[in-house]
Amino acid sequence: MTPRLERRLDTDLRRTGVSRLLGAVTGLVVAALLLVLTGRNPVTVLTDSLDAVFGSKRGIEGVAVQSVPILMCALGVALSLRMKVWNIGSDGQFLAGAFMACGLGINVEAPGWLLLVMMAVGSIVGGALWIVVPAAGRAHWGVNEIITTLLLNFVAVQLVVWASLGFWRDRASQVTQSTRPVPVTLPRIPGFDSVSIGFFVPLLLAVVLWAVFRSTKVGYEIDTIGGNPRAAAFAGIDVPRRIIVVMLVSGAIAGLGGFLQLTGAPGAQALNGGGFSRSYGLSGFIVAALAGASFPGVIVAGLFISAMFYAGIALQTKGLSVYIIFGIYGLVLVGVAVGEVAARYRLVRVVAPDTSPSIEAVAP
Amino acid sequence: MNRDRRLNVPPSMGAAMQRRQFLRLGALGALGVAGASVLAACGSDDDEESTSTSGAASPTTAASGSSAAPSGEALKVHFVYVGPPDDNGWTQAHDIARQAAESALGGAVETSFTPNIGFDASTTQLFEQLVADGYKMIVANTEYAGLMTGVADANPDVAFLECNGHHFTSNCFGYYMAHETTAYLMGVAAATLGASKIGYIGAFETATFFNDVNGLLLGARSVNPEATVQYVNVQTFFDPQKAAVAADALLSDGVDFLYGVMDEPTFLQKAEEAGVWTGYWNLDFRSAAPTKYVNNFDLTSFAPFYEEQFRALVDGTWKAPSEVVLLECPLGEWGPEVPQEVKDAVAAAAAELESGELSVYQGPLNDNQGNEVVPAGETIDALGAYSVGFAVEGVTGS
Repeated sequence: MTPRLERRLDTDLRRTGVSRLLGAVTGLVVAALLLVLTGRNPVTVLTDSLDAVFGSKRGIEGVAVQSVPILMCALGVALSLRMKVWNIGSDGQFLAGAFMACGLGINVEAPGWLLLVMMAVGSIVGGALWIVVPAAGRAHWGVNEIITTLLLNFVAVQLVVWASLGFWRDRASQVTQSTRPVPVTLPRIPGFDSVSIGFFVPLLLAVVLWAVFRSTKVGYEIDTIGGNPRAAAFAGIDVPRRIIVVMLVSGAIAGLGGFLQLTGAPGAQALNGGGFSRSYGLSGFIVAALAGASFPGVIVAGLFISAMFYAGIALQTKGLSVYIIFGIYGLVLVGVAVGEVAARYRLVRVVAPDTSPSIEAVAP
Repeated sequence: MNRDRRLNVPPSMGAAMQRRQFLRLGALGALGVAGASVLAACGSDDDEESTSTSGAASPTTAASGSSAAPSGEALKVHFVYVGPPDDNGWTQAHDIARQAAESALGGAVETSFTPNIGFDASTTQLFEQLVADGYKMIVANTEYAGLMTGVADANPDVAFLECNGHHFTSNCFGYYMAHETTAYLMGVAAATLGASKIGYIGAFETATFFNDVNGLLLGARSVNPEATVQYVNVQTFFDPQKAAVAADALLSDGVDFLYGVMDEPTFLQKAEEAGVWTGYWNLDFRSAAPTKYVNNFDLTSFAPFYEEQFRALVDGTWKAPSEVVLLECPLGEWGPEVPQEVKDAVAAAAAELESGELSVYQGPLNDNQGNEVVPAGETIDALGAYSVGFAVEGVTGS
């Protein structure tokens, strides 16, 4: 009568949801135990976190501001994940987009709205350009996109360092490692102090992507490629072309995120060589993976992670080590991931022991 | 004891370098090892990185036992650090000064800090949070520029101090070290020890970097006119591996004095192994190169500076200077093997610099592209040096 795990054949959204929630709670419980071990009161930490996020309008706005770059990167990653293409380079595409937007913003004279449009288009082009080589390599020569997209992140970081310490450095105000701030910003949402209308972009984009995958041929084809590229090719889908287009759009979304950050996030109007991106690409990747490449799921998971990050800022100023905060994030995310996997299995009891003859018994 | 030396520089003349670009684990970069981090953090007692440590009470939630000081009336001051307070370098120097200044105020001021703060938009949110938490003075030990100054502008009743900053308003100003003289004296020491080819490990090509290598070369040339400085910039202040590679490269290239702006002492150990004299920036690190250590830049004048700022805040007389405050930065303690003649030569040069007979940048000077940058008979004062944008002839590298 040994219990055994058996894979479920069906998937049930509610079961998956409950399982993930249980996983997150388990992660929090483990984190609480660790906090107790370090002499902290986990209840205080939790209430401080909730207070930081929900206790004031500033908290809600802070989460919204945090979420924009993460959601944009996550949507880009999720899109490519639908065809089982792993875009690990959304951080680089995000930076390339911000780089293009910044370059246009500080070097081109144009009316404000026109400049914003140019910067947005520039960031889309920048993000897409940053993934052209990985996309072509993957589509036509089977080059592993995980490696190529990942490595281009480092190139993008160096590009931003070069720009902000070198050719675009703000020499007039003599700052050390930062470009001149871009002269235009997105308008704030009426009634909000720090959230720009850029916050709506990932939300709208998620809806559009969801609709595309739900009811268009293109979406279906992409899902088919994700399921089995050979079968898709056999069915007459131009797989290399689809891969290239999807990867370019994936990069473009992250690139547009760079524009939204540069023109929307308070304080972030200049490229800074010290790190314009807080590893948004990595966060986005985790969000996309947690959401199982579901676009509404990306929004939920992205806002959840952004809330955790924002709470982390408040906790840090209240004396909690950033490493403990990372630890809590990690435990919660691992809990969710385990919960997701667990939902796919069930525990069964094996009634009769295995009585089939052993190899030795049969062999001559 | 107060060694501050105030020099007035118009804000437009400032130029600087990011002191440190701490290799930051982005929020999620650490997630892969998050479980391990928690366990590691639990294993040590010093995980409460962001609490005050020198007597006065910790900030609100700190469960740790806090001692002394009536925290009720104490004015709250918060430090934002680019690195960890035990980095063996820049941030540690600031943290020592923070604690000393807090103790000197005897409980009138309560300080705390947040370490490892990078340069993305969440830094702005951090500053907003600090204002909301009720801090009356916020000190950043690096230049966060727009990430901080927007918050400063929006909160004119909170004092903002930005090390190496270039934003000057009624409630925000920048301060730094006048370190070209220190580098000059280090160069005098190097050349007196017989060095003719000085190796320098830098981070970024900025005004502070130029000021450092120029001082070093001009000091060395005052003793040995043939001396040169060869530098390698590693694009970080804290990366032991990169520093080690740079040190190996310079040492195998035959440098006979190794110096740099790193925040960790790997290159000192490399120099010790190679039998080459060496010096450090932020702290006394004789232990890393027991026989070959020469000296370090002494950053202890941050302590009286912070003390003065705190006192003015408590007295209600605080006012932001309208120009950069450049603090004096002497050499520290000599290494045990440094001969007396070297100390004497440096003391003589220091006296000449102090009296004004000698200037670090004394014309005629050419930059390393061959252009004349200081005409004969002219000099660059500390203000000009703070924003210098060239390397003098004799400095090479990449």
